[in-house]
Amino acid sequence: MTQPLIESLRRAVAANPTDLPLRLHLAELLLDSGDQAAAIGELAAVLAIAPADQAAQQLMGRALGTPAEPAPSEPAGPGPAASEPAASEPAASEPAPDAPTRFDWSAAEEQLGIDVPPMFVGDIGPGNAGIGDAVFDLERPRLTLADVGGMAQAKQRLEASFLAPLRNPELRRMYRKSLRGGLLLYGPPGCGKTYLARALAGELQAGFVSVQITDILDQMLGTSERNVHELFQAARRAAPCVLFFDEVDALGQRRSQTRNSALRGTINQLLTELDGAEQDNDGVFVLAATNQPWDVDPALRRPGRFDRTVLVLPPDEPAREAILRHHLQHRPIAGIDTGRLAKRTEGFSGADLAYVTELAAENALLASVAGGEARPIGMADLESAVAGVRPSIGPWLETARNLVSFGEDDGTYAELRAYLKKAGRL
Amino acid sequence: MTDRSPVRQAEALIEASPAAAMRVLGPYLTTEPDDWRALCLAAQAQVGLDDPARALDYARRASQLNPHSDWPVRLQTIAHRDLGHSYDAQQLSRQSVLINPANWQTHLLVANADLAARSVNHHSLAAARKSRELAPAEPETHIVVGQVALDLGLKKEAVQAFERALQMAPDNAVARHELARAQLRRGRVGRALDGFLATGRLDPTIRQVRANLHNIIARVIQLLHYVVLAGCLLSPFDGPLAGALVVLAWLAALAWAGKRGGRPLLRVLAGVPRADPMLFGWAVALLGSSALLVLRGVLTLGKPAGTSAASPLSGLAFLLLFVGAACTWLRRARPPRVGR
Repeated sequence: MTQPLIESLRRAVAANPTDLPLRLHLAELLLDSGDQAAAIGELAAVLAIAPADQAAQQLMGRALGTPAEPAPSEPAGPGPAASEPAASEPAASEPAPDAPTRFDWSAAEEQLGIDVPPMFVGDIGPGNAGIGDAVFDLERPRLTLADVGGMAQAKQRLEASFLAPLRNPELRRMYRKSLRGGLLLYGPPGCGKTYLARALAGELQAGFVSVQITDILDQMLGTSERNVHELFQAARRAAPCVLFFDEVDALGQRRSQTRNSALRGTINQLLTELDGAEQDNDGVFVLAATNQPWDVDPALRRPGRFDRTVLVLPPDEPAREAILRHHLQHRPIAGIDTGRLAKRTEGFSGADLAYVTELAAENALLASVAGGEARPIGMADLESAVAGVRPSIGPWLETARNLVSFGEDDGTYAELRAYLKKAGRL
Repeated sequence: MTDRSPVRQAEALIEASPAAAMRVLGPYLTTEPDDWRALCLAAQAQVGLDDPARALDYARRASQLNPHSDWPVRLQTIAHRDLGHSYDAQQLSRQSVLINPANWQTHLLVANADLAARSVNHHSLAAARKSRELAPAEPETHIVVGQVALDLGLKKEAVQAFERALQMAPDNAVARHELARAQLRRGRVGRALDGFLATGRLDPTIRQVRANLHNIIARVIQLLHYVVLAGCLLSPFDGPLAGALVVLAWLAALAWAGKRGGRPLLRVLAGVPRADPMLFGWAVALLGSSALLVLRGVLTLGKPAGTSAASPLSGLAFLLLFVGAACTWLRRARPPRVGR
């Protein structure tokens, strides 16, 4: 009775491999029928897609013979106890009754005999990814794209160019869409590129390593190249991992424009690592951000490298409102209409908005000192601050205008061109 | 990371990211304020960060700590130059030569300071040439020789120097831009246009490109202005011929602009009304004048020559040409704020 059902479920799963409840049901039936190996296979597939799925974890625990959770409601039956530990026998691996249930991966690895290499070599704490003397901070951002206010267009582009292919491996395989290559976030300074990169890492439930040029560049011959190699090695070990190169224009600047031999070597090494010629970059997602995309070496923009670009524009109205609220939330305020302020701050970057709130706070503070009585920040303070701040992205837009006016019209800056046209700057 | 001294780390970073170099040097200088090398690097980083006032401060302190080195003096020169203190920059550049005459950079700075002060003379050219003699493989020395020569009216030498720099570094946007400027001075508008457009592609941060493209458009409009003026003078005698001449001139100008400048030039043209209103006014006046001449040509078609010499259309066309000339004068008196 069960076997035909299992076969039928297997066919259904083969037709729709991302249907997790179906897979779980199949795994349960396999487990009930005693086919543990097959059940583990199905459960592993479920956990690869949804590592936090509790049902899958419990079933995996059952499949591996690990007590996943004590079942208090289930009465201790008088069944054959020969193969089961006595109820009173203390079990070292058993979780405390009120402890949160977690799948014991170590036990599973032990049972399966998988020799998992340590994520990090040396005496490096859990917060670092590194090899030898190279250490890079590994974060696990909890931020997701849902936490990023506004920026609908950038999020949409990220979804289309990066997240959708990643979340749908079957479709990706069907369309032969490769995951090779990185993503370049570009836009005016102070508009949240780094924040967005962090959110993307959180969305992918991946580790996040932010790389600064100071972590890499060294005057000593060959050291910078080695640092780049070690960085990628660390990321491969910590996969899934997002490697984020901030200010990539500094590290990956046009080789024709630099005399610094260390820098040239670094770019060459970066190209080698991005190509993954010697190592597999599976599970390593390379992101980069720059305010000056025109300074990035064209070789870095070729297919398989930073071939996807996302323009991160100054915050839109909802985002501006969210940013203003964020910067005002821990200050004494009264009668603030953030919506009205957001309307009046078109073209302001996140950093400009932060400065506006700083100025308003300064106004209120000075007025309090002069009046001898503390008063909250009011709408008038913020409005006068807005009037006194000019958007800082003007020079950037001027250069961007030259970039799209004189540069090759190969579609790389199509988003930027559309934005400048809409803003009446082209 | 490997154990690195902050000064060495800053040396590695300074070209790629002055901000990063400064992040390394800042804390170091609080503990080692008398390290003149670190102070020089900090000054250099501040120059890169467009903060010449701070650069000057660091360079002065470095110079006090090591008065025998030309490095802090050169940095002071650059800071003064960027601050617009032309006299100080010129004085200090000469002082740096006295300290280290074997260093090509000191001679280069003399020419550079003179260029910034707009007081180029044969001494500046000699300094630039000396610098090139000491470092012939540095494209920068050729560029400065070219810039000084161009300011002295030695256009041929300037072009040769820029071309040599470009042979050494084909992607050098400054050399490309300066060569285009030299070509424009020589009246080679087409080559100049190509050069400016190439500069814009190579380095969009060079703001003067747009202003120079406006100058090229102005040159073309000037040529058209002469043709329309000729048409105005001719029209009393042969209206249709004058009209045909004007139409042909406009068609030729548009065809040239479309073929040579392509889309980038069209984009620049689209920005002219807002960025350079006097140029736009000139073009509109010229267009109006041309239209009147064409209209007059059509109206006098088939009539014997010289029968309508005092046509009001010709007078109006002349008047519009004067309006255009006034726009040019105003444009020269108050240069547009394009790409500054």
